Amino acid sequence: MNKDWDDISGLVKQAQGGDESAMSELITTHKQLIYTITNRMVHNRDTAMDLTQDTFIKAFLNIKKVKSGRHFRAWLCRIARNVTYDHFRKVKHQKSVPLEEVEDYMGVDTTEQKHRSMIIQDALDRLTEKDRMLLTLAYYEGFTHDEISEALDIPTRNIKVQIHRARLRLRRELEGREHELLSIQ
Amino acid sequence: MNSCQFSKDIVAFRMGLLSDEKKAAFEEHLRTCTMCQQEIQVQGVMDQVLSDRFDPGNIETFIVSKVRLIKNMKPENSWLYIFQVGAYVAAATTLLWIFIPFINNLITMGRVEIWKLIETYPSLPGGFSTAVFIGFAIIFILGSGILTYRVLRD
Repeated sequence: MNKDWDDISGLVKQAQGGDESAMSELITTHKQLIYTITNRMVHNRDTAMDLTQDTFIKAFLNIKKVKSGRHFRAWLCRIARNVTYDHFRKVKHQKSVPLEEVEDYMGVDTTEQKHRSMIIQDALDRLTEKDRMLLTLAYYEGFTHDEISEALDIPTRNIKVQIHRARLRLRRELEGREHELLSIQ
Repeated sequence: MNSCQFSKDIVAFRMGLLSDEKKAAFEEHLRTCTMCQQEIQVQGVMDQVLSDRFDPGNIETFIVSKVRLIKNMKPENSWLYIFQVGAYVAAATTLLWIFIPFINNLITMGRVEIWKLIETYPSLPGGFSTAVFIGFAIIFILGSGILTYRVLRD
């Protein structure tokens, strides 16, 4: 997150007034966050792209509802969550993804890295949607517990415990693949 | 995870959730336990991969133009908006009011009788078949319903 809260507040206000360059800048600042969330959730590059676009479109059509720039990022994540859950309801998410598609989606440099990412994402896919969302936000650098709480409707006091449990569940899903992960490090 | 009794604390250790006392004990244990050292490495890989970010590329122009397009389609004036929804509802209600007696008759008839009725139904002025007109009306009612739903939902 390069921009500080005041910058974001200013951009949100301008976007509320219909300023398209402010909208554009808000997209630039938050597109990685939303695309990372949707990618982790649906595990498919094209679908994630569609959901990212839907999230921003919905956000800008309702931007007058944002009270301050401080809440914008959490509010945006909440929209991304709802858009993703709507998608799951519509298509009844299929968890098995062809290998080629996974490798294509990962967008990392080496074959080893791709394989490692694939193992982790595979384990992540076996978790609940809520755990996946929680871990994605928890691992996103600069995302605070207050924001996670606001985005996911979890009381702030429970955030650490929930992240801890979700990490344990993810770790359990990686059971038996430890050597594979370490050998390709 | 490994069978070492300390392994259950590794996630909490990495998250900084252990008390000072427990943390010190775990660090002491970690010096000699190869299983926990390996577990730390595994979780390091896990954390590293989950910290990856993905970049969707240039999407700004597309989104901004789509937002503009939708805003232009949607009436800003709330009275106009209410009128639009009202018009859809009125059109659908009127058509239902006209055709409900006819549809009611259809429900009580058999399939063969319905076909006979449609075939013998008098044509409307201009030679427009009533059956075709009814078909259009049903499509219109459904369309109005869907449009109303979408307008209200958005």
